[in-house]
Amino acid sequence: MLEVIEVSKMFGRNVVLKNVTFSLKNGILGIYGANGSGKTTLLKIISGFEKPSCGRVFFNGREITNKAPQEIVKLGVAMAFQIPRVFWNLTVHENVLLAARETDYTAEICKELNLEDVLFKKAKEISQGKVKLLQLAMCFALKPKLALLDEPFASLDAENVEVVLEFLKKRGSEISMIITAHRTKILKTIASQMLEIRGGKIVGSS
Amino acid sequence: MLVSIAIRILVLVLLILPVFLDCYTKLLAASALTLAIFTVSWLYLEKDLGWASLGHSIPFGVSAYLFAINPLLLFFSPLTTFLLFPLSIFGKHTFPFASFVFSVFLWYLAHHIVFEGKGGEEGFRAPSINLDLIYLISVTILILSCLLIWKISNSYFGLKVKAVRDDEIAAKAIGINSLPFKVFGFAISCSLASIAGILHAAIFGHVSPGVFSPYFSLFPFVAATIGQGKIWSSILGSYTVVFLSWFLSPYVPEFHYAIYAVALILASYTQSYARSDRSV
Repeated sequence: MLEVIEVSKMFGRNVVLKNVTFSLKNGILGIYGANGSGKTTLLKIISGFEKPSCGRVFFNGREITNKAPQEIVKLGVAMAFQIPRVFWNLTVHENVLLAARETDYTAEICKELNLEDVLFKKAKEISQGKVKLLQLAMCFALKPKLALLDEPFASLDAENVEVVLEFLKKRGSEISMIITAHRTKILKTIASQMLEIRGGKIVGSS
Repeated sequence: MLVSIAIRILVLVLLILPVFLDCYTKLLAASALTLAIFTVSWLYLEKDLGWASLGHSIPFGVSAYLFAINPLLLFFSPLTTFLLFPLSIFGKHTFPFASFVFSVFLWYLAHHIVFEGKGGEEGFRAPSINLDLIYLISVTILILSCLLIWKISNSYFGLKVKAVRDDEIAAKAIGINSLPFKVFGFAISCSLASIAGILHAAIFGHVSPGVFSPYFSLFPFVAATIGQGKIWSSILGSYTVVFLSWFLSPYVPEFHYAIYAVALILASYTQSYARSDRSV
């Protein structure tokens, strides 16, 4: 499904990723590492929001290196950002509807992610935890083949972590995912494969 | 709710009443009406797209000039989009200043436009149309403009335009290519501003470099600020600025600058979508 071949990324003289190579056939891949280890940059390169300095990325046999993010989304790769990128002046319902394109599916996703109580509130009026859930809802509303989730459990309370875990377990049977986290405990409960990234290099897998 | 209904009734009265009044009042009302269309065009760009233009006199004035030079040139007026849109390259925060500077440049340039021995500082004579007819056309266009904007704004397409306004990266993340939506929004706004410019030229039968002056550049911003960014209230705001300026100018010369100053102070307290981006 996804092949990342010798991807490197430099910001000026700062090397963020060094020859990262891995592949994912299906299931949930967990990537863990300390802050600044290159997890977010890696996901941004796969989703097209960053261009790699060198290396190639293939999705379902098609090269997606240097493609625009909106084209990559149409191929079935969706991204949920660590710092949520949502439409702040639109309601939660409108945010999800834009991604889902159908009202019934919007309602279904919002119900599963516990967003029903804030459905008609503007995104800027809801709590940070709910915004995080909204970001996830928008990602899955796209019905992706591969979801890239950057720190989906960060800034969530225990109750919402449970909601997200349940949701990911349920969707994990039909959608492949790459989930990043700097804490491995939660990640291990859902991931079928794990990669450790340190200083921009993959240093371990299990 | 009651205030909103009262404002709508007041606007409808202001639209109908001049039909029964003298020529001078009708001329004044027609001027306010065209500037109300101008304000509505500006408001769409600011509210739905998040771009606050302080040089909206560019499509307004260029179209008025085209119409005055040759009425057939009015069909080129939607192309004024491509005078304003490229300035979006400066980004949302610099766009107001960039558009204002460009409108001032056109103001200066317009003094030197001479065609067949006419123009220059005195400007051009525009084809004059019967005031009653042009007034009815203006009322119809204002109502159609409001309906068009309401229809677009409440459609799924309009939702995508607002999504691009709020966050272009988030829009890309759900597969929306922001460029066509931005061009579309600018085209709608500039086309309506162009129509307002043509009507303005037709009402007064004359176009001078003054159509690019700060009075027109800042007018929709001032009217929309008075109207707190709502369409009906902003139409009322347009009437307020025009009527107060005309009636009080004999006693306080250039009175509109006092209104503009108050609006600039008020603007810092009113919500503007162009400045509403929020990050967590």
